[in-house]
Amino acid sequence: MAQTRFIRTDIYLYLFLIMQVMLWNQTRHFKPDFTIVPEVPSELSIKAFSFGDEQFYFRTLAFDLQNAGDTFGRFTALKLYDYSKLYKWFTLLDKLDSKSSFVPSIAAYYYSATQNTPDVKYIVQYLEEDAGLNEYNKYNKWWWLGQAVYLANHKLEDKDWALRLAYKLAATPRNDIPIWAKQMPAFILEQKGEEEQAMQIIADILKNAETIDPGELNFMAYFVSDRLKKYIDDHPELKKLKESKTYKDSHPGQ
Amino acid sequence: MKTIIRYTLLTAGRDLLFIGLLAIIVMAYGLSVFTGGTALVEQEQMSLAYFSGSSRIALQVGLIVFVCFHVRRLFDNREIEAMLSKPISRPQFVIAYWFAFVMLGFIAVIPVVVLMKLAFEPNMVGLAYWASSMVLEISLVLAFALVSSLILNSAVSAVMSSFSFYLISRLMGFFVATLDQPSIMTSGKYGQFMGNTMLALSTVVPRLDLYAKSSWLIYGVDGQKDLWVFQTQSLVFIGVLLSMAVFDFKRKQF
Repeated sequence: MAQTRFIRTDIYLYLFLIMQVMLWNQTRHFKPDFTIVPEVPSELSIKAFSFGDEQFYFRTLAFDLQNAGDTFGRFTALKLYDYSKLYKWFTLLDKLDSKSSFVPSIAAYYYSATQNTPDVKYIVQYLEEDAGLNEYNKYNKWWWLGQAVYLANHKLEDKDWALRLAYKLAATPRNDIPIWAKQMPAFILEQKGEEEQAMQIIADILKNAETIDPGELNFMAYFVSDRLKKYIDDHPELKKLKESKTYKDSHPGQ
Repeated sequence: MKTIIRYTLLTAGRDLLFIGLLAIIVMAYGLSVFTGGTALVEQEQMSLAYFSGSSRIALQVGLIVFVCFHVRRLFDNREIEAMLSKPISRPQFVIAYWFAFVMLGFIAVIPVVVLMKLAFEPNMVGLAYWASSMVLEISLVLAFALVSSLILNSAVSAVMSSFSFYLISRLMGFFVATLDQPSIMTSGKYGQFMGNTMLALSTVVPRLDLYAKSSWLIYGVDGQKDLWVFQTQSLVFIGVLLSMAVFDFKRKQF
């Protein structure tokens, strides 16, 4: 009798074990979502989930974005990422902390390395928007605007966009940015073949030359004189005028 | 009053509260440094934000649990009756206990601040504001934990209600912001009702989302227009909670 009861209780164990194996057979197809770039939440929801500490939540989401696609032992090629979604993430994170350079850094230095070059337009667009987002960014984010010029010019080869960005970069409202940032429109114009305008920009910078170091001054003086020489060579009437006695008398030593 | 404070500190020591909190804080620090260290840039800011956010959660959870179980134990062991037989009024008893809990909070915040100062380079003005704001946040939440433990008959209910209060208070900024979104609060069958409920709730729940922001540690407090709120809010709401505790406690029959 006791043995029969034992067998009966034993049966339940085997029964539930078999049921568990059957259940496993059904559930093994349910796998975690391996989306490369996670879905972008709404601005309202990230404000709610930050529980008042937006900086903490910003860092958490920014870290997730840095590692997106490279989790669960995966390594995903950047060409497979959805850059329109990434762009939405970048702009969303700016709503939590627009001062940080973390997002512009991963955008400009990491995500811009995609093998699918047209996707770089999302990066450039974000960097342009981020640098002009508010007065703080207009003053402090010039470096990322410089990166945007580089990406637009060399990766996308969109000279018009690069020029627009270069003008914005040169208009940064501070005097302590490197001189190359002020000269940037001239370099892009030069590449577009608009040498006269390029020369004019450098000449304008030279007019305010008190704080520029001698090495830069030499470069800019050379830049202007070289383009001027080329310009005169291209215009015979100017060349003739330069070689005239009247000009030589009025410009001795040239 | 001094006896109650000493007794509470002794009980906290006996329950290994300080050692437990310190261990969690050290773990939070280690995890924050490890996680922040894997960021591509701004590693220190990343670690600091993680440490500030995680230590806040650890401190609040640990202290709420301690307060609720400590007060319930006073009732269950009839220690409270022994204490009230001494020449101490009931309002004095409540205030003494709250003050003892504030002391616990203050002691618990010290290692966090010391670690922040030694291991990172926080903005010093921001750190001062963060630390004082953290102590006030703990004081307010522990006042609520004390009230709920005095009113409710179960320690678990008191803990759960304190957690809920803390979460809702941290979400209050989001609720207030949502009230300004007319599309959400006027659309749908229950939109208007939800809006009015949130409005009513926001009048009696403090704005804990304005306390101890991690961004203060990184960027400082320049330009923060709401810095005055956390002191005033603490003064007002702790007053409300302690009055409520005294009101209820005076009517309690032993």
